[in-house]
Amino acid sequence: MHPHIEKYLFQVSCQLKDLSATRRAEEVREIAQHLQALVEEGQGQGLNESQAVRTALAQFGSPQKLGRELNKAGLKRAPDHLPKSFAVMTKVMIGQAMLNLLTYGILAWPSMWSAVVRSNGGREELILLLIGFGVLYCAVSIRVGVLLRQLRRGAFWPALGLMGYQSIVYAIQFSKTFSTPHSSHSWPPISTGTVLFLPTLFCLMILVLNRKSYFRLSSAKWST
Amino acid sequence: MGRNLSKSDIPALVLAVLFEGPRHGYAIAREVESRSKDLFRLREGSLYPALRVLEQEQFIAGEWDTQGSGAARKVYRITSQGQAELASRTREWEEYSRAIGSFMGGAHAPAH
Repeated sequence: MHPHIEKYLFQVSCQLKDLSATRRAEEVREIAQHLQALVEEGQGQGLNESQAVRTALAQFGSPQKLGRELNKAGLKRAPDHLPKSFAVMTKVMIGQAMLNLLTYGILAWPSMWSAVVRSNGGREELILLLIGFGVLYCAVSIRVGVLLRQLRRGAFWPALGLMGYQSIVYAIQFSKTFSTPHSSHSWPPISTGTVLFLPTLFCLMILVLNRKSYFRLSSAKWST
Repeated sequence: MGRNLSKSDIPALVLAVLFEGPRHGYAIAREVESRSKDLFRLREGSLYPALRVLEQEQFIAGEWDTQGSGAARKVYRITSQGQAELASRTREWEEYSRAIGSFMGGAHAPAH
């Protein structure tokens, strides 16, 4: 393959950073074949190889622009194997399970021997709380990372709603935990009812929003 | 010299070409140019993003054809949803064309 074509394909490939390795390889392969056909066509019209390559590459335009557009188009693609709503809902449930584990596991754990640490002036208790919230902070960061990817994949409204919901839950959890450490043996940050009710409500919201956002994306694509 | 196609026109033309039969990317581009008698120039840089969007919408389906003697090529075919979309776009275009024609069709250059 001509070095200019190889360089072009490499530049396109660099922009396909959000696609899977298989899809990236397929995109590059298809463009390579098309370029090769254009070069052969040019040579058939009497151009020498380097002229034909130059003409073929000009037909394709900027590799960065092409790569960016292919990457963007690939991101908007719904998962092949799972309905989109189901995929988003699964993520919500995983997030909720993580939240419950942190709430009733790690954060409740120090309270079991809070009586012991409280007798020492509460310093250790504070340290444990900070460790607990440190872990919680990491979990939130991971969730936000997942959600940002979701945003880039086109599920804008569900992801935004989910981020809002998680922020509210964490805010409630944080304020309740810090406002009651010395008045309660256990520190239930949010009630079980809230934990069960809000995700259900939120899942319904996701179904509606996801549908809406998907259709809006679909109609927008034609006009871009 | 042909004129570059607007991005919003490419999907409909691709669907129209694929309605005639399955084709790979290179053949689609050449068919658009040849059917427009080289009036339209379909830049490949615009073709592939349009193909991805059409695939995503399930208006077309692409498959790697490994049966030929040469290297495998990705061949696109129109789906039934694509055919319905093409019919709808054709109707829209006919209405638009009729409306414009009602202004332009009978117009004459002012005589001096």
